[in-house]
Amino acid sequence: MGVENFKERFAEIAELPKDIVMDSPKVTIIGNIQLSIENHRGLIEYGRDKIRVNTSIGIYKITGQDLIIKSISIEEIVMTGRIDNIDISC
Amino acid sequence: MVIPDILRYFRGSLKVKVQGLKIESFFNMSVAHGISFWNVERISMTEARFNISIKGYKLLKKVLKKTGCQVSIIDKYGFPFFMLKLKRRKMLGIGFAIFLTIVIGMSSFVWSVKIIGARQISIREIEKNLSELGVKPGAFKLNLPVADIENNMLIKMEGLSWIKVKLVGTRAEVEVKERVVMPEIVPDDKPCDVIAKRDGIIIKIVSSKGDPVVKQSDTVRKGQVLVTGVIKRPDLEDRYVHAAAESLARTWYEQSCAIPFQSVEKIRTGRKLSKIYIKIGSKKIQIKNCNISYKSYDKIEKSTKLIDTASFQLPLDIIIEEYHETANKIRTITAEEAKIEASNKVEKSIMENIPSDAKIINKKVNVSIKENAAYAVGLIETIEDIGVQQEIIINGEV
Repeated sequence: MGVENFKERFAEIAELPKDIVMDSPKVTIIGNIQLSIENHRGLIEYGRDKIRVNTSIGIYKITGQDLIIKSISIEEIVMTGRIDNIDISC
Repeated sequence: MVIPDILRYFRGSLKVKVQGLKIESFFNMSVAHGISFWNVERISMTEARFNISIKGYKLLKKVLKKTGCQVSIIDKYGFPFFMLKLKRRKMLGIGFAIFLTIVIGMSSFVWSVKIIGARQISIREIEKNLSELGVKPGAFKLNLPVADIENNMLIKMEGLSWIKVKLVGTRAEVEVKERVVMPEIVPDDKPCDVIAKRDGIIIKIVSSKGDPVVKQSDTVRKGQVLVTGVIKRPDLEDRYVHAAAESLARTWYEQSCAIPFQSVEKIRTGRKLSKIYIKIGSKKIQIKNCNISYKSYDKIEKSTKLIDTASFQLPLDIIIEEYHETANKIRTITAEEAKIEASNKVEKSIMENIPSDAKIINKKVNVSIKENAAYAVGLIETIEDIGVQQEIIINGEV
């Protein structure tokens, strides 16, 4: 954790975006209808009501209804549908 | 999102069904290979549907082998597939090409000529000269030497002072300005007389050059010399000058007309028949026919262009000929009405002949009734300058 701590403090002092410095995911949610995860490390599980995405800090679990992956590329996953719950387990 | 959508359209995309047990790892591996997906839908545990670019689809093979999944194409979108379809349906492409050539071809001809600004010169004459130079319905627009045509028109037609040929779509707009015919003015250095251009009684004669030969209240006839340019003085040789004078005279204009009490008028009975044609170029094709059984009728031809915008026209017309049945009816007016009508008519026709610079001093209309008509005699008195210059011819020389 020492390295991570240092990175975080460095980002804070240098006013650099933390997601880039720390290589951590950046999640953007629009209301409860769209969610995008940048900097992901692949899908673990994909279903209509549950999507699990691997990232550098752990697994994001998104539950909801009629979830659709709007687009998936190496940089970003965008999903739409009705999002009920986001769970981050590190 | 619009620009990526357009790009996707031109690159072409596929809707694909993937079946297998390790669908998540299929996506992960594909993404790691740089393939992107959109609109991914999970149908069941073993099936998902997604959209993918053509390029990406070609790269999928390796991943499929490793993950043991199978893909099949459900649908194809985009321009490359459209072209493929078009290749298969050659006639459609040919038809489209023919359509385009017809539209472009038809719009590169002149289909109508519109002449603006002609008053004295007849439009038909201008049209005739224009068509001799190549501006006519059916002329190919692209090689019309407009500037040359304008110049040649000015040479050909004396009465034009300015002409502009504009090609607006399929219409040639020809704007003309007519030459105002100059009154014949005797050049300043030539000797001349001032003569009367109409009969009248001289009211005032002021000559700036030359000797007046008539006095105030003299009656003059048309063509009579008012101011002479030949100056004769005793003991001196005759001198010739350029006579000029203001010669106001009282003149009068007289006219008469008759209005009968009874006149025959054509009146439409309200019954009508019609024929319909389509006109292509100069060919008429009948669409609706009928037998005209009326003894007398008015024929009215209405022609509407099928395509007629300000700038684009095609030689396609719909012609409707309407035949209105007519009957003769005798119109009877009272003596009073006839009198008013006659006097109005007489006054109007006299006014048309009076030059604009004449001052009207007296108006008189006498109306009398003889037999079955009203006769009106109108007399308008005016004051106007009746002097015109006329060159003096000395011993046959000009």
